[in-house]
Amino acid sequence: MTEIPRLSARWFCGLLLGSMLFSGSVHGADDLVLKVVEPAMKRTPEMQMQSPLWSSSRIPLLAFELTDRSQKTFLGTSVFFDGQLRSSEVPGSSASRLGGIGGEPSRADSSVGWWPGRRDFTFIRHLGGVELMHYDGTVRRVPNLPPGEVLEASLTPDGLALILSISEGSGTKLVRAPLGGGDSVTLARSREVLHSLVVSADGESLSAIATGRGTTELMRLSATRADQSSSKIDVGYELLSLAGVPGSEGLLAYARSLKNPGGGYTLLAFSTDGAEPEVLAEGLYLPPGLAPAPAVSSRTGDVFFIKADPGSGNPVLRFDPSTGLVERLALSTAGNQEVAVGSFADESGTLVDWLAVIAIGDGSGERVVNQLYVGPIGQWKGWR
Amino acid sequence: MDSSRPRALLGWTSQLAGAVLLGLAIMISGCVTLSPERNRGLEGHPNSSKRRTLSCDRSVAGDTRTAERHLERGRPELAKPYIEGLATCLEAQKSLRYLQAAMNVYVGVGALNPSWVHWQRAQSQAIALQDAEALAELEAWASRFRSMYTMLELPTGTPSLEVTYDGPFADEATLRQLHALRMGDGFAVSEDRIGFWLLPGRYKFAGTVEDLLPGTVFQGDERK
Repeated sequence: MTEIPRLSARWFCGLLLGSMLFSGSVHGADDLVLKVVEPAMKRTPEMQMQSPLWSSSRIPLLAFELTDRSQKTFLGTSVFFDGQLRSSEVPGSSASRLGGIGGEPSRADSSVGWWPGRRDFTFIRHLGGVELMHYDGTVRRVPNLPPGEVLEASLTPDGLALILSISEGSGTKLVRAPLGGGDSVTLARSREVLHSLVVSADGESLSAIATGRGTTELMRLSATRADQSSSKIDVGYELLSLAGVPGSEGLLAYARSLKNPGGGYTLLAFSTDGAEPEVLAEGLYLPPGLAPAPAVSSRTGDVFFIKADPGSGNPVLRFDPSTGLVERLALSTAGNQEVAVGSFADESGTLVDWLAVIAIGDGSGERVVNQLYVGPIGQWKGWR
Repeated sequence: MDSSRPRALLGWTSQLAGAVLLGLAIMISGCVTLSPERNRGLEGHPNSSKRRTLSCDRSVAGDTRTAERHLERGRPELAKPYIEGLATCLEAQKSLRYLQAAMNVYVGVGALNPSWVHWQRAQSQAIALQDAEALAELEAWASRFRSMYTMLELPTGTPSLEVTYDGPFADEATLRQLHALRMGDGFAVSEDRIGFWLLPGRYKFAGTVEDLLPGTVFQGDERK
């Protein structure tokens, strides 16, 4: 429990140190070879890629969203296996009633939540209604959910229950739905929209952002039972998204200062005791729309983010809490928009971080739309 | 007394009865002919020689067109009776158009193995007719099909393999394919091997969990 404030302090000091050391500190280019992910479906010039999310499976596998000009959003997956980067697409629902009557539904698949340690995930499908789906090579509807519209779903670390944010009437409820049968438990109700769910590593506690009209609060509650003592903390920032700090109960959050809303985005660290957040980095870039979760390596605790600096292509930075260094990664991409990180074991069993970057264009001035680039940070057999 | 009157009445009545019976016979025959399921009687005997030699009571072209129309409107369930109604018709089994419609109708209702059986027949027919265009179309269709599903292959005559879906949310379509596997309703891969299509996902084979990915072939006998 005391580790987190210490860790946060180390981050904070590290950031100061890193800021001083930062000028010209560029990660060795030899180690970073990113390749563009070509989606399986026929790509149109307007097609944009966004929201990459790495799985925690044994092989480098990630999901991402593709949006076409008509605002239909599809999900794709990409995997590096047997020396090849392969893509596939999550198929549409042939059982759709709209499809069945020959309609042209406006489809939107989003909000991927990977199953811990496996290669399947849940996602939300908007197709004439809102449904929570599961994909393991086949799209299947998640049955027996409580009434209401699912806004977000998160699995407990043991994979035995879903934590759901469900819109109902004038508010939102958080529900724990066991997968092996049994009754759902309503953990909390709120007039605000509850989102950005983070379940603690032991599966006991749950964090979320409560967004109301002009307010955001950090919410902490039990992930297992109806909790009348859930706490909402006004942290003095507009909170946008959350991520858990691996191996601890700490949280990272992207936020915007209420005092200086035009001053760009900030990365905050929260310890377990609900104390004041610590500012880890300021002047960050986030893409328009829903903010992605902060990218943090489960291997090292390294945090990756994008500096709002259009003059130098919005560089991707890595903050290493063990050394306190902030490094600018030498990437071939420009106009970086989003970054995600995942950790996978190579042939020898050594964990290697893999990066996914959404960037505008390919540096050559061609195809100036959001494209997805991936690659290992370090050596990986068959990658080059 | 005029005795011819009752005789005439009797004759008229019997003529009327005959006409009514004839009419009924025509109507019944007509009703039966209008039903697309007219030819289904021998479906349970796929190897019956009668099945192979039956002539068709219905228009192959007409019912195939009707099935295609339902399919185009996204209603494979309504198309299925028209396809099944021609299942015992030799003329239909030689019609590439019928076989292609059957492939699509069966895949539309989630019956993957019957769909593949019709693809195999269509391919044989296209080869026999030396129809290169149809062959190319069939190969493209098969390529899409293979990329979406996963095939379980076993030696013919293998005792039933215990397979269960091990993912969190089993649905009817998944269970239907597993039922076909239990019943041995597959298709010939070669002389000594039988295949079954499954929906990709996480399955348990005699206690071992496997992620069956789209576009892959899983050799079931290697896991026994």
